[in-house]
Amino acid sequence: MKTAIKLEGVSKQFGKRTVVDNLSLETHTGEVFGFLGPNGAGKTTTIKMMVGMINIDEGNISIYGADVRKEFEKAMSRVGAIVENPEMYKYMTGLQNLQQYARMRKGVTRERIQEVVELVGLSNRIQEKVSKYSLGMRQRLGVAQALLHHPKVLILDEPTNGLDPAGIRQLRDILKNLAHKENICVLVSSHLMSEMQLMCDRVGIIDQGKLIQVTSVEELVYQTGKEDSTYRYHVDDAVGAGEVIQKYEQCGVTVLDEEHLEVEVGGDKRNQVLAEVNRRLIDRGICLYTAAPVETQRLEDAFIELTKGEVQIV
Amino acid sequence: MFRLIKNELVKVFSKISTYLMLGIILIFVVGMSLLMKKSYQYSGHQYIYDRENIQYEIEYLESSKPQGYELELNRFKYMKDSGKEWRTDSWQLDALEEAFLTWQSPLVYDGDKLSEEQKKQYQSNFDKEMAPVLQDDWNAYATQQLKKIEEGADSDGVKAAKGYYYNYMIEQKIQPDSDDWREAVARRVAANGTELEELKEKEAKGDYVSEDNKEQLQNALALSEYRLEHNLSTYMDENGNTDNEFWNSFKEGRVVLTFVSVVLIVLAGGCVANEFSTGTIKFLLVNPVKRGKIIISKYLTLILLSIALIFFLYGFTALVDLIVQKTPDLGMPLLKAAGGVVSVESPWIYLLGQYLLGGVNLLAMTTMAFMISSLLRNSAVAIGIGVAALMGGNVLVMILAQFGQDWGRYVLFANLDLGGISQGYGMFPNQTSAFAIGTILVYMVIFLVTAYDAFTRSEV
Repeated sequence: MKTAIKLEGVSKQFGKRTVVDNLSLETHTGEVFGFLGPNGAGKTTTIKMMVGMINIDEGNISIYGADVRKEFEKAMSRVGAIVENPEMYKYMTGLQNLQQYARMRKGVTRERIQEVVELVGLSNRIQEKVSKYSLGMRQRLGVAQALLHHPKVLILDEPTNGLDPAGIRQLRDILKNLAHKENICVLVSSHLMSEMQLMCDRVGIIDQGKLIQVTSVEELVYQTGKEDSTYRYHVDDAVGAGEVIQKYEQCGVTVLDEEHLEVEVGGDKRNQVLAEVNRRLIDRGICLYTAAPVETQRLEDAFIELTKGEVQIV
Repeated sequence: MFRLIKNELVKVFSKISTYLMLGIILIFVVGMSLLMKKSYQYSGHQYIYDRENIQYEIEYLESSKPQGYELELNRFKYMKDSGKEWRTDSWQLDALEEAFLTWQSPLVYDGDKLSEEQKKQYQSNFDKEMAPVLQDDWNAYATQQLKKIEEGADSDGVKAAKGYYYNYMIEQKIQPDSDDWREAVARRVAANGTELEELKEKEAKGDYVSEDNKEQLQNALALSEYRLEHNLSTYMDENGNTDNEFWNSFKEGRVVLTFVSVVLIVLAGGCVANEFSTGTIKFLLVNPVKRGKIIISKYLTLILLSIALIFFLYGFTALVDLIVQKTPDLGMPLLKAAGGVVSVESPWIYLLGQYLLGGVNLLAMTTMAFMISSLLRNSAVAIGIGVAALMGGNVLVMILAQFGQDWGRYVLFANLDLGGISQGYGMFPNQTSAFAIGTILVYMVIFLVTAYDAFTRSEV
């Protein structure tokens, strides 16, 4: 695996405040790398340094070996990016906007523009002025812009902002496809932890300017997540059901209200335990309406634990 | 770089506001031309002394008795007695005034010193001179005037100069009231020639003669003679003055440049600042193009637009005036006389030069607005200061000059009127074109370096 983006001891101060603190990181070709952190952790600042929008106080950043400061044009010719909000020229059409960027990059043909427009699903609306676009459409246009020149590195700052669920899934597929089939390095920052879980191969967690951990998604979930699952039961007598389950002792139980309770089950014999719970409830004459797993945002839990609950404070 | 400039041009011409401003320029040009046409209609007013008017003048003079009114009173009485009508611009009235000055003036004011014999002589000379006038016989009058000049005591040179007008009129069979342009020019040749001959005689006698004055006369004479020789009813002088309505209106149309300047200041003030205020700067800088190239291409675009708009204004003003004004004499020459020799130039080129000279002010103010736009990232401040400087900079420097603050000459605004300064109309003493150009260049370099530095260093 080749190194795509390389950060070595990067620091950045705004006044006296250290926003990015001695951050070192490597991303590889063919992976989707998630950049996680609460608001104000320094994600956007780091990304801005990667694309040369702000100065690097200390350290070095290179993209495929090209130093961002010394060989700016060479480094940036390999990068496609969206930083913060997708603000385009509102008085122009989507196509005219893309043509602007095409003129500033080498080797972007008319066919290529058409191709990326189709890829992000804007073909029908590309002749309309951007002022008529929704946030989601502008986000798509931003992605199209970033992909124009066949970049080897794609840096997207909160790309799912404003996209509807279908759009998010579409974007996820596009990014995964680019990384795994076209061997591009995709770096994504986001607050949507569940999204990261589905989208990324590896994640880097950043808090208060420091990189806390870089791991694969599976590892992260396994390492910090409990193997328990929670199921929500809807019954006619929640208190009675609670007593029954408590006696069984194989699982934890929390009574929510008169008709609802949550059951936590762990271990490999999860299914047997659940079957036993259900059987006992029915034996005691308790009406079991429904029982469904409660979706756990595992990565988010892991993430909050790692950043010591900073997310909730912010 | 070419593609970057194309990008900037696309941005400018995608906005409706740009077309709005261009539309206003067009309206200004057409409005200016129509105003000029209207102003021409007021000129050329004629006045006729009929019986009633003459009576009115007589009553006025008799009642108010201003100093030296007697001669004028006698003249009006003579006009009344003649029973004729006298047009203000007629040769008859000129002849009458001339005769009165020559023969009647001594009778009225120095009557006491003259003998009866002399008085009779004056009166008969007067009557003799007026005889062809009363009969409206121009040729007889001219011949008589020539004879009078010939019998006079002047040198041959002066006599020839004085007689030029009458000789030319008789020779060319021109009636003085025929509205023929040659009449006025011939008269000027005679007047200038006479004055020049007299100066030369004075010089020969060893009296002091102003060389400037002499050269001016020589040049004016050469110009008039050139016009008669080449049959040029109208021309443009070296300062752009002309009585051709088309050319005059075309020349005055230059004032619309001020509004063109405003348009460019608006574009310059927005071209960097708007990228920041709309957030598009992040997408501009994420491209593999160095910031230096981006800011330079933005400035080059402004220069390109400035030059294009000046040429556009030049062409469009010419076109509008061609349609609106009467008698567009497209082949009219620009005549320059120096050292008594006339050289011919094209007013097309002269006026293009004038339009481009106006562009110096435009470019300086545009560059200033551009700098502020890049430095403060605020288009409103940049445009405000730019327009204020355009309108008020001149006034500011004028105040400095009036209070004797000599350092004012180093202020940019004191040096922008290159046309005026080259003709010696600078606001500070001994201002030269070289100094002005140098000062402007220094300011421009400061503006551009500041703009470049601010843009390439800014954190987005």
